[in-house]
Amino acid sequence: MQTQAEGGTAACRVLLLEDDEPLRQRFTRILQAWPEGTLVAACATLAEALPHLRGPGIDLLITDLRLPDGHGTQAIRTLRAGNPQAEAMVISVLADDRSVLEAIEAGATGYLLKDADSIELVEAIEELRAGHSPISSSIARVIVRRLNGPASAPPPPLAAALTPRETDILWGIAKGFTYAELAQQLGISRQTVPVHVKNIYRKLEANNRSEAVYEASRLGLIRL
Amino acid sequence: MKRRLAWYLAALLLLAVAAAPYWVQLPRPHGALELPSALVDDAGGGPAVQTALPHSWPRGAGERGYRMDFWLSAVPAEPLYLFIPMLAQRAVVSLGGHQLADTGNRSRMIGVTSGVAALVALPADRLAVGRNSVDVRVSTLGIAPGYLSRAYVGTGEQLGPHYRLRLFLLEHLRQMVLAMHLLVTIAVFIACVYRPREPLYGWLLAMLVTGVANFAGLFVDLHPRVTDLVPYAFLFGTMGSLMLPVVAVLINGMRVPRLLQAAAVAVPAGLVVLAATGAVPAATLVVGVAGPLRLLCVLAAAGLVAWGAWSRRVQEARLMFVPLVLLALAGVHDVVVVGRVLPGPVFLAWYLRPLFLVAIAVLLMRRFGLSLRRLDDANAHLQRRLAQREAELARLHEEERREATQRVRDEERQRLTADLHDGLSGHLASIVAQAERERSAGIERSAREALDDLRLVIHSLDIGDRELPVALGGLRERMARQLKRAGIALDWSIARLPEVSGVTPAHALNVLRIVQEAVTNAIVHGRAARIAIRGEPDGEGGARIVVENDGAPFASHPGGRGLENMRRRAAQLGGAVAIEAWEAGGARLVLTVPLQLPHRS
Repeated sequence: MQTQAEGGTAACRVLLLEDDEPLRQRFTRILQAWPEGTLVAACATLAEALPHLRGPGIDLLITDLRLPDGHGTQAIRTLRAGNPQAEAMVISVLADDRSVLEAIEAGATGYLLKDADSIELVEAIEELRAGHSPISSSIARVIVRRLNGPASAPPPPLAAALTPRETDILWGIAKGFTYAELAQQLGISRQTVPVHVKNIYRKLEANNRSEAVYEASRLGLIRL
Repeated sequence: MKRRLAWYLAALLLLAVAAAPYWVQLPRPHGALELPSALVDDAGGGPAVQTALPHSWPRGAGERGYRMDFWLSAVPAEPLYLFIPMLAQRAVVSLGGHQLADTGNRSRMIGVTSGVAALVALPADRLAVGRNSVDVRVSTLGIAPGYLSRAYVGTGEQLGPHYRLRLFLLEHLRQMVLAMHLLVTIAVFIACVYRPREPLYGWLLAMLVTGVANFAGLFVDLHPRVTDLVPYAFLFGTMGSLMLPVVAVLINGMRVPRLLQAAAVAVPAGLVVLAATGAVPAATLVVGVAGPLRLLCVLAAAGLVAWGAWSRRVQEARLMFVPLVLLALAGVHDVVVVGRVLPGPVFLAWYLRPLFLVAIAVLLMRRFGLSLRRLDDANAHLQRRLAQREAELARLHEEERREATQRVRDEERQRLTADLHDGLSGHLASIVAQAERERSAGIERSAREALDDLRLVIHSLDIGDRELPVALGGLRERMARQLKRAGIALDWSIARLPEVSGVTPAHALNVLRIVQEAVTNAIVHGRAARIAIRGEPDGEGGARIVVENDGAPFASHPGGRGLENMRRRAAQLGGAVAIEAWEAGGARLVLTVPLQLPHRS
């Protein structure tokens, strides 16, 4: 499935995974109309999507979380395991749902609202490709709570993994500040805030993975 | 400093009281005939010598005869008496060769009674007009010096009060000392019974009980044989004095040397044995050994408590210091009296003994009071601790209860959120997609609005206390899309909003709906190009959220239920909503809320 590997800008190979038919059709329509990407497949179930995800043929996965035969995070993990360069984005009704954070921990770095119009969807994808991740005050708040919560285990705690700047950003967003307010307060450019956010997401994923490894070794599943 | 001064003053006062015999002059009988001199016959049988009274002679020198003459100008109308304020220790009074009285047993007591007073009636039929001669034969027991004061002749009325005063001072007072001694002994005994492990009480009791022997002289009237036992009683009573240093050591809080404990019992016992076997005469032992030993013990005890009081800062030692020092001074005085350096037959030690007894009583009561106070303090402390613990428990219980309620509410909220999220909102999103496909703009808009409103509700459910900025942040994230679609610019700044506490999901929903309504109105009716939302202090101790738009005046949408709803919601927040329309176009909505929101909305 090698396509347009040469050239200035390679087309973004997209996989859509959404079980609700009207929504899948709508997203399919929008993605097909997007000139910079190629919709590899639009799947309704996890089983349908997994063969595509195991290879290196997908650059971007857009997935719903609740699927008839599984969960979107499984698709994200499969993708990230086979192709660490690939990005994942979840479709959620609310951007502030805890399940979005679950997806982020599985490796997603962006999210979309289910009723996003075509402009919003394309903007969201392009932002993500530019290395920017969105964050809502609710998600920031959940992460902040986790930072302050009791240290779950010896593996590198999340609080230690984050830089002071990243922590400041999380706190600011959790308090309801806008990117602009935050950038001004921290003396950084407004455009760097979403870059930091993406780094935070990546650390969340790494932390989650090491916690899983620790937990598994603790249970005797893995011998370190 | 003041305290120290008070101590010095108290000590001086005690010293003054102790020295009373030397500076207090008892009144002389007024109107009575004073006999200032007597013809004294020498013990050796030499010629009688005219001598001024008072007169004394060394102990052990048997007896002396005194002849005193007085003249009567007429036969007295009332009965006359001879009054001898002080003599030591026994006197036989005769008038014109006829024996009138023998002061007898009363005067033979060792130590306890070192002097007596005498009042002898002079029978009228023996008195003659002109010269009368009274003979007084004074004898001693051979320990205290012999002594005779001036005598007086007068009526009962003139001499009676003086005699009674002397009787009180020389006899009754001494009996009171015994009574006091017994009383304190009983008190110490009780203390000893209830605190058998406290050695001080045991030694105090032993000291007081053996000290009773010193009062044997008071009982010579009971049986003539008692007189013979008096010296032995005095030797035995030395045990009490030897225990005084032991008591002083205990008061200082130190360990008592075994040698001292043994000596306190062995030495007096040895003296008694020596006297009983006749190896050494009892009188010699009394004067030569027991007396000086007693004085030595009192001096040692005084020195010990002085050291304890000032070096070791023992409060009780300070208490005992003054009585012991006075007792020691009195002991020195008495020894000096026996040695005839000072005149007068009165032994002071007996008069100062009560002071020491009082000190023991004070010590007991002080300990009693202190332990009661400690008990009270301990009680108060325990009560305080208990109250603290109870308060802590109540607080923890309340906290736990609140947390449990919170937990239940959180779980319920999460369940509700999950239901809405998975069910209703998914369907709404699906409807939006279908309406778009069918190009049914009305349905699509309604579905979008329903979805937005659902998000508002779900989002507000997740808001906790002091999280109003988070609620507003979520609103901004959703509104930004809405406004972007409508092409309206949004100026957002809530960084200056003061912290509002008491925020519940219901409160948050009220705030969000008011702001949302203001924005929706601006979009639908106001034709605004720019909307500004900011949070700030209201200048009166509250917080306010201001929504401004540059479209049509907000008030141009009258009669709508919207405004009424806003007012109702603001009232539930304990705040108010104010709307101003601007002539030039545009309007401002100001929502004011208190920093502490009401508990129930």
